[in-house]
Amino acid sequence: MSMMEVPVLIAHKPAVQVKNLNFAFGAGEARSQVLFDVELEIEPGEVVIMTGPSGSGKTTLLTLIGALRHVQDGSVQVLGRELARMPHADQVRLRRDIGFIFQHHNLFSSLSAIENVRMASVLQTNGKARRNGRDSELLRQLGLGDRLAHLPAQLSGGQRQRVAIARALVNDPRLILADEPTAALDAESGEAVMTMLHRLADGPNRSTVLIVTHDQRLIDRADRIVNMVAGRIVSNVRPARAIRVCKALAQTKELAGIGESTLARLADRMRVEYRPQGDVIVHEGDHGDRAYVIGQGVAVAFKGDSTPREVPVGERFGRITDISHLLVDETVQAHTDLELYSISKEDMEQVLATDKDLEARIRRHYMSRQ
Amino acid sequence: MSPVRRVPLAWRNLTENRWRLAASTAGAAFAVVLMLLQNGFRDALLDNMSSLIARMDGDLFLTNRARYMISHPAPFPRRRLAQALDVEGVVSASPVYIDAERTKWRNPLTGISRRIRVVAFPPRDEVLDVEAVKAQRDQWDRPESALADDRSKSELYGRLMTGMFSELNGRRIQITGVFTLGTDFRSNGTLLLSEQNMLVYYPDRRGLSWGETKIDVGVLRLRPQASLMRVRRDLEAKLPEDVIALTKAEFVAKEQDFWENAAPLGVIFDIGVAMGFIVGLAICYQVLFSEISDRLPEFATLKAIGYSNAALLRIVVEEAIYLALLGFAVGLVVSLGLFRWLEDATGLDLSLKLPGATMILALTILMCVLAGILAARHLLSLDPAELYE
Repeated sequence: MSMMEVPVLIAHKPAVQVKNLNFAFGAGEARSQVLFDVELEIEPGEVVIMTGPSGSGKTTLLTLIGALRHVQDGSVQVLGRELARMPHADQVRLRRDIGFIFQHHNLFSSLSAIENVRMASVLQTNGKARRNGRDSELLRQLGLGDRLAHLPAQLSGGQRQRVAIARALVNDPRLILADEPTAALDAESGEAVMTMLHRLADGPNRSTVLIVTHDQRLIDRADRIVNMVAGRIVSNVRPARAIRVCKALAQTKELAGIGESTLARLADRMRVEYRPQGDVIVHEGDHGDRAYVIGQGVAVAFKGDSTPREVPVGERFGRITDISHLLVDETVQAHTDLELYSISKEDMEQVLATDKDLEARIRRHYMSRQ
Repeated sequence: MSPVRRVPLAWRNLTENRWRLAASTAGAAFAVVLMLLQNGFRDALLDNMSSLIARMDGDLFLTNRARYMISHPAPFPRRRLAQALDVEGVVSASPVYIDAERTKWRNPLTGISRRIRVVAFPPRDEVLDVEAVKAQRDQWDRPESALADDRSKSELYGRLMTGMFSELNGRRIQITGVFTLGTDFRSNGTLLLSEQNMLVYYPDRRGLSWGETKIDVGVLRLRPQASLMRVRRDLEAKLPEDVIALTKAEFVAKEQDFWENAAPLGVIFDIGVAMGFIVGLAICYQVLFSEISDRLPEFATLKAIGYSNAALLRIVVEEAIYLALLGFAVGLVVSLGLFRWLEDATGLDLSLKLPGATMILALTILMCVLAGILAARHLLSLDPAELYE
């Protein structure tokens, strides 16, 4: 299981939830399966970049999430709605809540820049976007304030792509699906687009952004990178958070001196949890199923009536009883709001299986505690 | 609220390229011209075939019950006029003689004799509501004289001018004046004779008595306050069954009905209109198909961002309607020019009537909308997911 984030402070459904998704083109002997048991969850406000070689299935997955194809097998939930067996008319309506950015701008050559954007904004029946002058405002933000009435033929390739991006974003979509959105843009324009996407992700709508790209400039700014190979997700990491987890693990004394690759594998398997102040994480004497490390905040630990001790960032607590054969030795409570990184027995065993040195180290640690 | 109304996409797409717009409009206009001409010919046929009746100045008309068209030789005795005068409300009854089958006019230039239509009535009766006929009645009342329709085909008869001498059925005759009536699809020219001259040139019209004289139409005029329907009822009651009394509208309708349905020349022109429609359908389909094909990725993008098939179809239909209106406007102007030229060339009275023009406009819109719907089929089956391929 990959590193997962379980936001507890703000309870909300994932913007995208893909379960056991299989998809094939053709039928009979010509049938060619392109997606195999794909599982993916994307939270509101996340900027996710999907990479992978050509033919890996990332575009097919993108079109399935965008309700542009029918789900054949499995489940795809987008913005709280299940796409499997969804009637076509509902799919069309759902697409209006999604901002699509295509590799090719596909602007109507007969319409001006602002009219091309308006073709999307008029889809919102309340006309809110237009009343607020959102069309022109967006174009101005993208550096096209003096090109509103220009036809696509009068714009450069990069300017056209920015018009297409404005068209995708004009209705403040809750989900944005983009295919190489910055391929035709220079560094400055690409940066402006990513800034805008992040602003939408961080904004009140907490828009979710899923980008298929090979642009390294974008990868560096992603919250999460999903890598697909041969129809399967082979890696699903949050670079920024992975670094935070690794830093926290590096401060864990039981793991001191272990290699970077093991640390990264461990971090990749850990789940991110948010706990509010006062929340009890583990109880003394319980059969433990996860081990925890504090990423941010402070917790307090106590045994029986003993004086509570402070548990700082990087300190491990909790136990996986099935590995250590020990029950949880102390109660741990959030003293402040906490960001926790935890690992399950199964994930721990997989990491241990790839690093015998770590396994020996952990076993020695537990032996000393018995 | 329709998204299509907010951004004039259909109009912008149609008018983006001027040359393409000109070609598209010309294509639609070509079909419009075909349909308007066919419809115009049909109207002209019916109008011209009944124009003689339309020009007759009377309230009721007596004709042989067996007569199915004005130029069909089906005379009845002149006595019926006298009988009609006995009916309360009838103040005058004038005979009209028509011969379109047997009369030959000798072209004085070529010497070749050609069939010509002859119409005759007593000059003082002013049966034809044509000013030149009334004004020149003294000229054509003379023996061996006639008025000639100046729109008679000169290539057949020579140019019929006042003072010209020639032969009618082998007898000398002089053109003593001209008037304007027009040809039709059955007659290429008309001579107007007095009743007296008619009986000289067609002695077989005479009967054993004056009452037995064979006439073709009786033009009745009624007292100003007389009830048309009552007089007609009385006439039918009093007169033998060999004649019927018709109002002018009925007489015109009967003539037109023959040509339109019994002949049936109307069907031929209707088929012509249908052919124009089909040709136009093919042209407009090609125009709109190319228009859609060239913008397929853009339309697919609209589909991807949430436009329904119905919304896309509305855009195409709207564009088709614009094409229809532009094509109709251009086709109308061209057709009016062609009508004028054809009028001069053929002598037919070709005029564009509002009902006919309205019908062709409706057919043009239908044609373009159908073409649009057919052309939009591949747009509707478009898979927007292909945009990501």
